[in-house]
Amino acid sequence: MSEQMSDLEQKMQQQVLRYEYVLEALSDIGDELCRVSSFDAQLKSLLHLLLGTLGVRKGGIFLFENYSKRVSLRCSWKLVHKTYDFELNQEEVKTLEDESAEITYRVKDFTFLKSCLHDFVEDNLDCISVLKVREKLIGFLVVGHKLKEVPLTDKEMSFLKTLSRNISVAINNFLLLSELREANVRLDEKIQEVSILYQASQMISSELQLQALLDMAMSAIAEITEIERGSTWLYDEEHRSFNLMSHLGDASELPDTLALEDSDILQMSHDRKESFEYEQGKSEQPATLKRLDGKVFGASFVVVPILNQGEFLGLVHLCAAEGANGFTNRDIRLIKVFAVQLGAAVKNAQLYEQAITDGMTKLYLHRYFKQRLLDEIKRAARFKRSLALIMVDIDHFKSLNDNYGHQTGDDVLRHVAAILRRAVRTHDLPVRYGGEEFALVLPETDMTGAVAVAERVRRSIENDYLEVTGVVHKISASFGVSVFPDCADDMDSLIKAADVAMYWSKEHGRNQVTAAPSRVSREIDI
Amino acid sequence: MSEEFSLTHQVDDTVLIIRTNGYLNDLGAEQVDEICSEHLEKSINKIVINLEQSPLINSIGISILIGVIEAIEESEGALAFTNLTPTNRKTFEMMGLLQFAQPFDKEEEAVAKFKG
Repeated sequence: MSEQMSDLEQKMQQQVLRYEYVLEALSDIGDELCRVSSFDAQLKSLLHLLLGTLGVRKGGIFLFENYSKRVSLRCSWKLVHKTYDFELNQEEVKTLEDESAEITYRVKDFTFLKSCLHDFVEDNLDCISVLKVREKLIGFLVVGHKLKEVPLTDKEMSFLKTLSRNISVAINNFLLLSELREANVRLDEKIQEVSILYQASQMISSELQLQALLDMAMSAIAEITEIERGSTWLYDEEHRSFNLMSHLGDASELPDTLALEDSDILQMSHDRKESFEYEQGKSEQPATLKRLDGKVFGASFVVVPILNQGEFLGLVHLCAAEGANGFTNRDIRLIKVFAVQLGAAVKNAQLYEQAITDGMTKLYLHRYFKQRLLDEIKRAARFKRSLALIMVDIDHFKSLNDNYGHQTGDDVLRHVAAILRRAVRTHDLPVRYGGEEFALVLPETDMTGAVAVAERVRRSIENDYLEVTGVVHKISASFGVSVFPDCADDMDSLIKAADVAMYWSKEHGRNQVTAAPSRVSREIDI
Repeated sequence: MSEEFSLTHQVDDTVLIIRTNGYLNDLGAEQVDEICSEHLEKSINKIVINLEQSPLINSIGISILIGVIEAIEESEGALAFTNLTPTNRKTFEMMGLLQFAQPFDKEEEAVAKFKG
């Protein structure tokens, strides 16, 4: 009797031990959820946990993808097949997902996946479990026999069921988590892209000077993507040509202007108004690159048009840095978005330039001259520097106009304006003051320097000539120079001083330069 | 749990000795299976696994040891576990592992038995 009791006790103890062991496996599954490792590593751990708990030699986990309705063997231990893939039909999925359907079956009693299970016949599988969470099919779990081909007991089948449920939850959580991680990565990328674009757009949006704007655009693009060489070109509709505005990298092969008709690439960009990639030997169009295009654009490059409300303004050309493996879709997408911003900024700058310049002479207008001169005087006063103003008046312009007509008069104005434009430095301001009168504002220049500039311009005009409809015109101009603060201490008196000096030149034989007297010497005169 | 699993092995005459280090609850334990398979192919089918440095063996470890047992059974070899903690011994017994592998207190005893 006591022996029987102890036998029973021993059995009970064994049972408790077994349950403890299963409980431990359940807590290990929970632990596995918290581990940071790859999905595949986690699946494999789950499979081992299951096999070790049941004492089974082999098994595998199949995962179901709802989108494609395909089931594939994602992880296995000691099975014949390492990979396996098949499709479920809608009806099967529905039946398996049904809440009332059993979870765990003996393989011989399982009526689904017959052909799949047949392919695993060599493995002599014992049981199959349906992995699902809240009527959502996740996959299947197959297990072989225990050692010596002993099948699972009914008790062990029920362990399998419990473990399957927990494994389903674990896998479901893994999947949700990895979806979340992927979404997070995509979101991070987007945020980064937006911030790059925002910074680049900020840089260019407030710049009204075309040249400065396109220089900035070039460096902004270099920030967005790794480029080795690049250039920006603005389209000149009147001359059907492109002007080089800014560039990055080697520019020795770049001309200042390119005629539309000389370049297939320019034509493609102009006609299509869409960005395109060209790679020598791979792109179909153009079949071969013209020598000029090859020189200007390189062997593989991207061309993005600068557009504003459908109007073609120019283009951005980019060569990927060597070893950068070309441009990614992301690069192209970012550059395209940036080009949209650039289009608006270029249009703004062009409109501004038109508003402040004279269409005929391309010199700044009187209104803008006044505003700038005031700014420059303030700056010169603040930094205690000098500032020169040169007034220029074309000699005998009225009789030239009367004798040869307005057309010739306009040609003369354009001719002199071109000489003035060429004579000045970047920060100088050439102005059409009115009629046949011009002005030059020269910051950081004293009387000696200003007189030298005026004298140089005077000689350039004198030595040049203009031919209009077969008639050769020799032109000259009279100059007056005043300097702030030596000659005047405000804008109006500075202009007046230069004007007076210019009339002095006129009245004393023309074609000469006169310096306005300094305030000190005037006081002495008085 | 953070300790990485590792193992060393040596062949003493006709006996393969594997000494594990770290918890047998990690995928790293699959190495035990790989080393055994390699030697079984070379007809070294007497294997002693010394588990002294692996005090914790959970179901992942058991799963791998079951695989080893299966492979040795197929090649008609012999397997011995040594230096089992009392808890591990109970688990092995419950899972039926000791029907296929003899436990020894010390590694030398098992090796001597297999050699003799």
